[in-house]
Amino acid sequence: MLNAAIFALVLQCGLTAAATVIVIFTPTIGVGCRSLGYIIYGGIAILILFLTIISTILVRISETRVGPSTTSSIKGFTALIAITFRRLCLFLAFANAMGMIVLSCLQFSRTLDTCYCNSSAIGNGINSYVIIVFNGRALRTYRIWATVLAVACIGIYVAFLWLITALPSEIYNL
Amino acid sequence: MSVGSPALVAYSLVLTALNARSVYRRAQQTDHESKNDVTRALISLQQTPLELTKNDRLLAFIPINDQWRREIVERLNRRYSWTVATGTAIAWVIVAFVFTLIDSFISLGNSAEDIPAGHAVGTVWMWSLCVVIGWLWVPTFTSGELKSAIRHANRKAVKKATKKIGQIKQKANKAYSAAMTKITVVNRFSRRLAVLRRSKKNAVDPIPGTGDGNEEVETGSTQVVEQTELKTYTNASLQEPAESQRGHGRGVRANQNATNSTAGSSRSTAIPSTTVQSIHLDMDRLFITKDTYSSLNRDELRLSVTFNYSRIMRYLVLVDDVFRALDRPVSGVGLPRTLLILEVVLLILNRRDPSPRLLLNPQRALFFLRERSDRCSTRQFSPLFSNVD
Repeated sequence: MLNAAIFALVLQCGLTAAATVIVIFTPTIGVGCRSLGYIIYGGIAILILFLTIISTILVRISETRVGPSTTSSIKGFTALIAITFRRLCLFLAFANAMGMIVLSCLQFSRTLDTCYCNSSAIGNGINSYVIIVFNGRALRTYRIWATVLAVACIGIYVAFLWLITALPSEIYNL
Repeated sequence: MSVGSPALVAYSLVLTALNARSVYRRAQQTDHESKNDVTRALISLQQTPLELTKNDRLLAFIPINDQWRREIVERLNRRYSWTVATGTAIAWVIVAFVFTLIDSFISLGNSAEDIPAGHAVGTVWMWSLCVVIGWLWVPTFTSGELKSAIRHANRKAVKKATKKIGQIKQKANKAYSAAMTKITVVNRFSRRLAVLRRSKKNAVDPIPGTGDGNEEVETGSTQVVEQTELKTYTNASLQEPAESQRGHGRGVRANQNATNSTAGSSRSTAIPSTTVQSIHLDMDRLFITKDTYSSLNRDELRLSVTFNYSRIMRYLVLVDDVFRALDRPVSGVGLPRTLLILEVVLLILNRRDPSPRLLLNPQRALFFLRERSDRCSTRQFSPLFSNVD
């Protein structure tokens, strides 16, 4: 479970972080609409992962705990928490998916190409500004690093999957 | 759900692969003959809610389990491999992403108007590539495939089981007729004996006898004595057919099944042939277990890879139980080694049996089995012969 969670986190964090870095370090530098959207998306995805893991454990606890009547309240409590988490996760996942799709569509349709978003006003506040003319040489390193990060995370995840699925070879030969 | 949390899908995929690995590793510790079959079945059925059955009827026909498992393995034992189509699709995705990157880097120097959207968005959505590759490697099935495979296996198993039951019926009928001839002989003998005894009692002494408790009964003692003696005799004489059937495997258990089904009514109904006929296969009840699924663990009923995370706890315990059962069969009476193999149940298909939840506890299962085997040994033919007059 721990391994699986770690590798899932690597994949999710890596990709989200890469996307966020790309957007943040595009001038104007700072947290804007897009990057905030990515951060929220990744955050909620990770939150869902943790909540479901906790929910699984709690379900197991409340299923297997058999004891005197004093523990029944604990059992009911854990069950309640588990059910709540499960439903919350479902809701969050739905909302998150909708949000991500909408964000992508908005970005491609240039609806976010507004003064407010381009100036990264969310992060910079009163000091925000809009760039009219800029020389993008310095950006290249950030983008390259972000891309490398994303590809590396994908590579780690896929390589790990390949490693663990490769083992039982005679099992699959009838 | 998967779009909402790619991390969850990734987690489930890795879990599935790790489970397969752990099942394989656990199987290496046993040297049971059907360990590979069991491993395959366990690996390929990760997407279904699994349970070890504790159903009496099911346990009575263990060879069905073998058959069923074989069918399931045949249907579900395959991995998706790299075909031209999947390879091309994945290559397209990668090529598109590379083009996006190139575009992003080229437009970097000379345009100041907008952030190129493709780079960031493409990166965020790249998880789908990993997930698709994972689906190819980890054995995953659609719910339709799973359902059809299980239905097919059920049908096959039921067919085989009915055949087996026919054989058992024949055997039981033969044993019954053989025993009946003996019983008639004994009947005559015991009746004569009772008459003799009564005459002796009347003649010599009204004081009850010393050793036998049966002689204490005064009026109507003929019948009682007759019955008890008959019972002891039948028990003694029936050891032979019972032993022969036990050698054949499922005979004993089939009869025990008959015991269960007709235990209540065996006192009143006198015709044993109906008892033999009542070894029937209740098709509806064959592959049903306890209704353990409430709103607490409803995710376990969803047949998607994404929800494999919810089944992990139950699955791991089940794997352990199955292999422990393979390792250490109950050293009971006449039970073969392939006892308590897994019985896998797709609850979506047949969820009609609401009964109290039994926890997956190996000790309880073993206790249950031992109790069952005891019953087998003591009351083998009781419903057949308890009320022969």
